Amino acid sequence: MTTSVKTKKSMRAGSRNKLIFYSLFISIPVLHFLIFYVYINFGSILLAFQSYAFDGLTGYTASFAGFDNFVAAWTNIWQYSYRITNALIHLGVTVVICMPLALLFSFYLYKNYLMSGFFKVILFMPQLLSGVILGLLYRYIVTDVYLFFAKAAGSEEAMGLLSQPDKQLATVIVFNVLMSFGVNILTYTSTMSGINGSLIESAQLDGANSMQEFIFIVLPMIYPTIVTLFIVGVSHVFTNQVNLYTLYGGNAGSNSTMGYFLYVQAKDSELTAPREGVLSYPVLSAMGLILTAIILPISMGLRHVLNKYGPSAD
Amino acid sequence: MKILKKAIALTLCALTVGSTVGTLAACGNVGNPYGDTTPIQFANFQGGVGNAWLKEAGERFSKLKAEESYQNGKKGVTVSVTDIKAIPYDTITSSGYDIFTAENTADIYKMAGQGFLLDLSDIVENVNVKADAKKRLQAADGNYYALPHYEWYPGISYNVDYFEEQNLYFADPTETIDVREVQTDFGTARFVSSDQAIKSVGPNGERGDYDDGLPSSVQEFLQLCDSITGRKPLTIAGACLDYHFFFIDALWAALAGSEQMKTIYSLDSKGQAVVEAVTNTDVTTKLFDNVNANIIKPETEMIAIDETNGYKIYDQVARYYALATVQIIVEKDWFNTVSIGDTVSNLTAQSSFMTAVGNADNRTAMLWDGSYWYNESVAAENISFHQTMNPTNPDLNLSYMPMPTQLYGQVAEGEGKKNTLLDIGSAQLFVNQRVSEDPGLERACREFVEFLYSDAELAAFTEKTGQFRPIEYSYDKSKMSGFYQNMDAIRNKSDVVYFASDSELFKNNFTSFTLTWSGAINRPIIDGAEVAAGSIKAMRLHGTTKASAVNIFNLTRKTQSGWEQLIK
Repeated sequence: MTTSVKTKKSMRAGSRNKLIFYSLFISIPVLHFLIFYVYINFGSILLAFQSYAFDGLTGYTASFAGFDNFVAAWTNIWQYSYRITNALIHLGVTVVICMPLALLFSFYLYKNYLMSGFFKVILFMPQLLSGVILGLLYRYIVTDVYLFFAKAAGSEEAMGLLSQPDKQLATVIVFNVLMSFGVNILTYTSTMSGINGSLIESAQLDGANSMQEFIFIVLPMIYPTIVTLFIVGVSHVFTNQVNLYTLYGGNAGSNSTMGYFLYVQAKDSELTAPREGVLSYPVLSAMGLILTAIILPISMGLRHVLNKYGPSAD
Repeated sequence: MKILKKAIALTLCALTVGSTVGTLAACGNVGNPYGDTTPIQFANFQGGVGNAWLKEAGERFSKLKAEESYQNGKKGVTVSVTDIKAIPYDTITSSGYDIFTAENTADIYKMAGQGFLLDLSDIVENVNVKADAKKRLQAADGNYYALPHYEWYPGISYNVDYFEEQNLYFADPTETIDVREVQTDFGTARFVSSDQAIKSVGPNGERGDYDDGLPSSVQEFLQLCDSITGRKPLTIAGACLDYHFFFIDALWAALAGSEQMKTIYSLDSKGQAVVEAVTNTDVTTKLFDNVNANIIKPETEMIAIDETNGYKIYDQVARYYALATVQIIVEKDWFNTVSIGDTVSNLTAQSSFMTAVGNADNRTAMLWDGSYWYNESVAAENISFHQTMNPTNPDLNLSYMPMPTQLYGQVAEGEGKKNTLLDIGSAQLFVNQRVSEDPGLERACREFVEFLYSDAELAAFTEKTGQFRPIEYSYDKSKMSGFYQNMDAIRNKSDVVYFASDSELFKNNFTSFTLTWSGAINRPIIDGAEVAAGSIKAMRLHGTTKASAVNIFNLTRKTQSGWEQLIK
């Protein structure tokens, strides 16, 4: 009897400890979700339907704005549609250049080809430094260093690559391609390392060369990871500022993407538009909702299509 | 095994709790670096005056109040100074700072209206703040919530030694012997040829003062630049092309005069047609003979300004003339090499101006920067470096340059215009309303602010930093650097236009009227994209056909529709 009570007690104590342990661990992500998802989005939706007026004696007063903020946001998006175009160009670069390059490099590292250890260090090394520092170094290279060599070569060029209208987009793209390697390669190589070795051996016994191995074994096996990274890229198309703030500060001008624009605007904005050219928080909130309404179905649809019609590991 | 599991679980729990507690602890003060004293957290704007003046003042105050108790169990005060660039205007009350200083962007009216600031009326009333500057400190309830911190003026500075050595001063018309005539694209310039020659009276038309021999018209300024050989006329930091407005605003103000300039804030010319506004830019008359055809001389009319037509405040022709001068400078390539690299800082540009080393493309005669720059260079040890490197000639003779006051020709004696300085710096000091929750801390903050604005501390501030406050007070000029002694002489004979007004429209839309970096006036939108770095960058990026002075001028005028929105 005594033993049974003790056992029950210790079971209850064990359950309680487990519950405390679980609650402690789960509390952080739940808190994160409540603050950065529920609160932020709730606030954003609320703001999008409000307008503010300032009075020197009473401070700000809010009133219902209907869809005025959405109209203002849409007008701005439409008027400066180059930001969307730029965002799509950078997405295209990610899909067409960054992802294939990262996959190829990852495969090279995965296969432990010549100097793969060295390349691993070289490719990951920049990730150890802050993006801001890398951006600063890159700025020096494409301005001062570039001008030095241009002059030495007898060129009369007076502007760095980030300032020349016909070269600045390419200069930004190159930086983003360089910056994209580290994390992508880390993700791909770790996924590739999980592929069953017997599959590769079997393919090799059947006479598959490296490229066939890559296309017919490795790619289908890591396809879910590729889809995930692709969908993440697509869903971030209107929030990704493609390191423009690091390279240009607030002066990206015609290189701006939607993500960069939203970042710079939010930095300068207030409840009422502080000056010409800066949108108020309510209009920016409405803009965020419009962009979400555009990108959410596209991301979901793409994920569905890619998962349904993509290659299978079977 | 069970024990091991338990140990791992406990370790993970401890880590989770530890990291959470650590994070929370990091938000507050860990330990107590202030001992048993009352700490005043001072957020000092990281700008042209540095923090040495404040630290010294803080130490003097702490010493003075060493035996005074402000909070239970505490004796004395410690002033803790933190330099910050981005003032958290929206979250001041929860920021943890008690006192703030900020340049031009501080919207006192709005912050006070939101209940963020402590009422400082009792202190303001005991300080002789200049009437115009005082308007900036007042909220809708009629009380004062800030004190003026310092002024600075945009413009250019010149190397006096070089000007004297090269005889780059204009000669007086009565001087016929010691004259050097130089043919330029802007007409024949008549410079003095010796230090014995009689110099022209300068822009203010008064003989024997600080501006004798300096360019009195835009034409003379261009002649001067075109005559400088062996070095480039100007330097601006390549990474700071957004300083473009320093020259534009300085020239605009000098050409327009204070009466016109005040209307851009007051929105009221009292019914007098004092503003010369551009009415038509679609003309073919060129501003000067040998310039690009798109540098035109627009048609103008004299108008009165009030709140109904306030959108015309940026239509002043003087602003266009300043932009046109910038276009000529860009097209003539009168900048030295440091203006090109996107990474060249303001401190490097200052250094290149002072040291004047390297080839002719690197050396320069004039610096494009705000009047605070010399103090900044002292803090960065540019000045001491120069002195170390030049033991035989350690003292630099540099001066701020008063801008021309007319478009063509030379100002005759007694016919000049008083120099106008724009207080773009317009720095303020204000106190967090939150300190009122702790009567002891509030008293300490109030007493420290009173202390900072006592006669002795006002003098100490200016003697230390070379910066002036829009307050009536005296200081010992001999303790200031030569550059700021020159600045003092100029300021004493100038009208200063303050970023302040009685207009409710202005107060309610304060940021719409700023002439600084964030002002729409400095950020033309070309091809649908804002050129935040301003006119020089726009001209370089888009060429001076698309980004001509006249186009930039038209793109940065206020619009009637925008104004109607503002009035609503």
